Parts: sequence; C-alpha cells; structure tokens
Amino acid sequence: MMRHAFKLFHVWVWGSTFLLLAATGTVIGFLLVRGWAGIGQELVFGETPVLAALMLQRPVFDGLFPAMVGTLALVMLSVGMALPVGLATGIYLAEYATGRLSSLLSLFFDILAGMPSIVVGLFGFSITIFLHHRFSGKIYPCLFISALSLAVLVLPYLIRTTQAALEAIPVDLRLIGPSLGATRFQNIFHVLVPHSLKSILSGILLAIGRCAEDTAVIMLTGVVVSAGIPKSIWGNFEALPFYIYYVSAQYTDAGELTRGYGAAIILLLLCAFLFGISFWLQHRLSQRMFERV
Amino acid sequence: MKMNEAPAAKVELRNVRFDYGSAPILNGVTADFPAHCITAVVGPSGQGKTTLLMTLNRLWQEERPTVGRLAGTVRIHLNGGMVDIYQDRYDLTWLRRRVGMVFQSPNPLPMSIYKNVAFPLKLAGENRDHRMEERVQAALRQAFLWDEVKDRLDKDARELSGGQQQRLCIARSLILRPELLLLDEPTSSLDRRACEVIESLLAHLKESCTMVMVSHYLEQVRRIADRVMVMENGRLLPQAAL
Repeated sequence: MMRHAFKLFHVWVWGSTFLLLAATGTVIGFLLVRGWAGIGQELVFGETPVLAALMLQRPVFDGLFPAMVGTLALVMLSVGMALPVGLATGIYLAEYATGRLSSLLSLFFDILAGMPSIVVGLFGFSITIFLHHRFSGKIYPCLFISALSLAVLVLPYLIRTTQAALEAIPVDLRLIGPSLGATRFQNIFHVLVPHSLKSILSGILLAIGRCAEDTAVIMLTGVVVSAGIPKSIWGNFEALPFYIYYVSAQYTDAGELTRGYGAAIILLLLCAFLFGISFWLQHRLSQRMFERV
Repeated sequence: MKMNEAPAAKVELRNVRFDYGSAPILNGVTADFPAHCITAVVGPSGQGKTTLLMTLNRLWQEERPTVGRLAGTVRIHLNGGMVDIYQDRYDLTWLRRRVGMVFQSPNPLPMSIYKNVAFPLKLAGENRDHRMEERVQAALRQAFLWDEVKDRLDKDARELSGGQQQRLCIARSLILRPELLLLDEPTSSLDRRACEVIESLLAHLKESCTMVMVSHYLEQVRRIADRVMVMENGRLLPQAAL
C-alpha cells in the first residue's frame, strides 16, 4: 500500500514539474511562432534610422523603441524606489521587530501583497488628483506617479522575501559575527545580508517582473499609446505591456497582431536582460559586502 | 605582542540560573574554571552545556534575547581584573573579543582564507595592512595551519578540509587574542586524524588562554582536559569519575 502511495507521489511530483515546464515552453513557443515574423528592425525603430533613434536625434513614431525605453525607465525607477524601503523594512521585521508588532506588520504586508493592481492604480490616480489640486496644476499622471504606484505594488514582495531570507539563516551562522565581536549593525551588513542576498534576489526578480508586466497600474497613472521617449519623469510615457494590451484589444489586421506578439517577445527579452543584471549585481555585491568591513 | 603575554582568564560562576521562557536550563550552577587549564564539561544532550558556554560571552542574548533570563553572578578575569560580565557598563563587543568561541561545525565565511582570519580584526577597526598580515600569520601558526595554507591564502576558505576549516575558525578566534576560549564540541564533525591535530593544538593553547570545552567524547576529555565537570539536570557537578 505504502509502496503504491509512494509511487503515486513520485508521479505527481514529477508530473507537476513536467507540466509546469511544458506550460512555460508552450507559452514561449507560441509567442515565438506567432511573433517571430514580426521581429525585426522595423518593429523596434519603424522607419527611423537605428543610429539616429539610439542617439535620440530623431523620434520613432511607428516602432517599439519608445515603449522599450519607457518600460526600462519605469522598471528602474519603481524598483529603485521600492528596493531601499523594502530591504530596510524587511531587515527591521527580521532583526528588530519582536512579538505582536512583528506579527501585525507581517500581516499588514501580506494583505498589501494581495491587493489587486487596479486598486493600487486607483490609489496612484487619486494621489495625482490630490497633488494637482493641492500643490501644482502642472502635476498630471506621469512616469513618476506610475513608478511610485508600482513601487507600492511590489514593496510587500521585497519586504517579505528579505524578511524570510534573513529569518531562514541558521542560528549557527547568525552567531558567527557576534561571537567575533561584531556589533549588531556589522553582523547584519557584513554577515547576514550578504548570506541571504541570493534569496533576496528572488524578491527583486519578482519585483522587476511585476513592474515590467503590470498594465492596470500604469493605465491609470501615466502611460499612453504614443508619447515618444519620456523627456522627464513628469511626462507621459509608453510601455510594452500597455502596447501589447492595446494592440491585442484593438488590432485591425493580422500584421498588427503579429507586432503585438513581437512586442511580447521583446518584453520577455527585456526582463531576461534585467534579471541578468540583477544576478550579476547580486554576485558582485555579496562578495563586496562580506569583504568590505 | 606575543599571544602568551595576554592575561589568562579565570571564571567564577555563582548560583547561575538560566531559563528559556518557563523552561529552566541552568539550575543554580556554582563553579570555578581555573586559568590556563582546559575545563571539560560533559553530560548527556539537552542538559544545558552549550547554554552554559553562551552565558560566558552573553551570546544567548543574540540567540533568544526576549525569552532568556539569567540570574546569579558570572565573573571572568579579564584585562587584569575580575569582571562581572552582566554589568551594563561592559560593552558586549569588548566582552566577545576577550572571550572567543568555536562552534561545533566549522563555519568559515564565504571569502578567502586570509580574509576569514582577518575578519574579526577588521570588525574591531584594524585597517593597517602590515599589522593585519602579522596577526593573521601569528594566528594561523598558533592554529597549526600556517604551513598548510601559506601558499594559498587567497583561496576560498570553504575549499579546505573539515579539520582545516575548524582550525581556521580557531585561528579566527585567536586573532583577537582572547583570554578565554569557549569550545562547543569542536571536533564532533571531524575525522580521527583531524581530531588529533586539534587536540594537540588545544593542549598548546593552554599557555596563552583558558579554555572551557563541551565534549561528548570521554576519551578525548581524558586526553586533554585538566578538569572535568558533569552537567546533569541543569547542575554542574564539580568532579567526574571518568
């Protein structure tokens, strides 16, 4: 009986993994089949010469280049805003907060993590209206407000992964620093955080992915179909996920839909590029934090 | 300054009680650990031997700061005088630099051999390279490791064998020139050959510091300990008939 149960469990575990891999492969394969034909210089730069577009000498009207730059700026800005706060709060929860306060804050961030992105978008939109009426009539939905809203959206992931990563450190390791005369600060920054950077990175990757793909938040806070390359953080911007949504909702011919699939492939590649940078930074940073006492 | 110039410590425990929450761990421990000796603490698992060690450098306050509660007096001879280590005026970092600790499993940090040994010195604010090199070399020699690693100090410490890693951890503690060294089953994860090297190393270290060692191996205790105490039901019995 137990042998059959174990076999069944084995099949279930392997089957689930295979199913997941197959699903991922199918999605990527489907995108490649449908979108590969659309991939090319024209999809990105339209009819604008590549060099002129890259040097920002001539605007790109019918290509994805502005949306790529907009997405990149949005991700970097929002993760840049969320990361310091998320890491600090995660460290606070894991290393300083105790008892009821810790449980209460953890519950609060879990609730925040479950909040639908459209609600966060609405929050960003309300903030914009408030700022517009109270402070300056020049404040409109813009890249900054979108990034701020996305930062709020991904903060709980960063906080909870940092907290979980630090709390998972075994006691033996946790005690090395103090046993060698490290202060609490030294132990956190030269032993504990470098040790948990790999796990913290998973939260950062999740945040990057979420910022790159989320459409609901940016729809309400500053993204438009055609804005060109953002001139400042106070202006409108284009973004790949919104382009994909727009094209798939309103395409008029097969060619346009193929461009939408092409945009999805580019979005995946952009995410892969950002993930690559994060891995590289994590490796460099953990060594430096260990060694720079 | 040579290591053996450091003053040796002597420990006095007077009616030390320690509770984790409502569970009593130490139940009125009274004992003296003489200077320049290895005092071995033996006894079954779960009797509070590691906790006893952690009361001597207040490390339990890092592990379970909110639930641990200590009563009684712990005095250690440090810097030329007896010090009640639970008086607030003594800085924890200062105390832990004077009272070193080596754990059950070797725990080198993911950095080079040199940087591992220099780590505590850097934490203490030493930035002069030549001074650091001298101290690292001295500590590695003291831990019987210098000859084995002198040509590969920049290699990752985790590439060393288990016994070498443990000696590295001992060197890392010794670089701060502790007056008291706490050893929590330092050879439990090592093979026989590595154990012998460490035993011989500990016998040599008696000249420079006092040691309190928790061990499960009675043979080992017989070989190197000057004094043996048995921990039973949270009490430390002064002498064991081994």
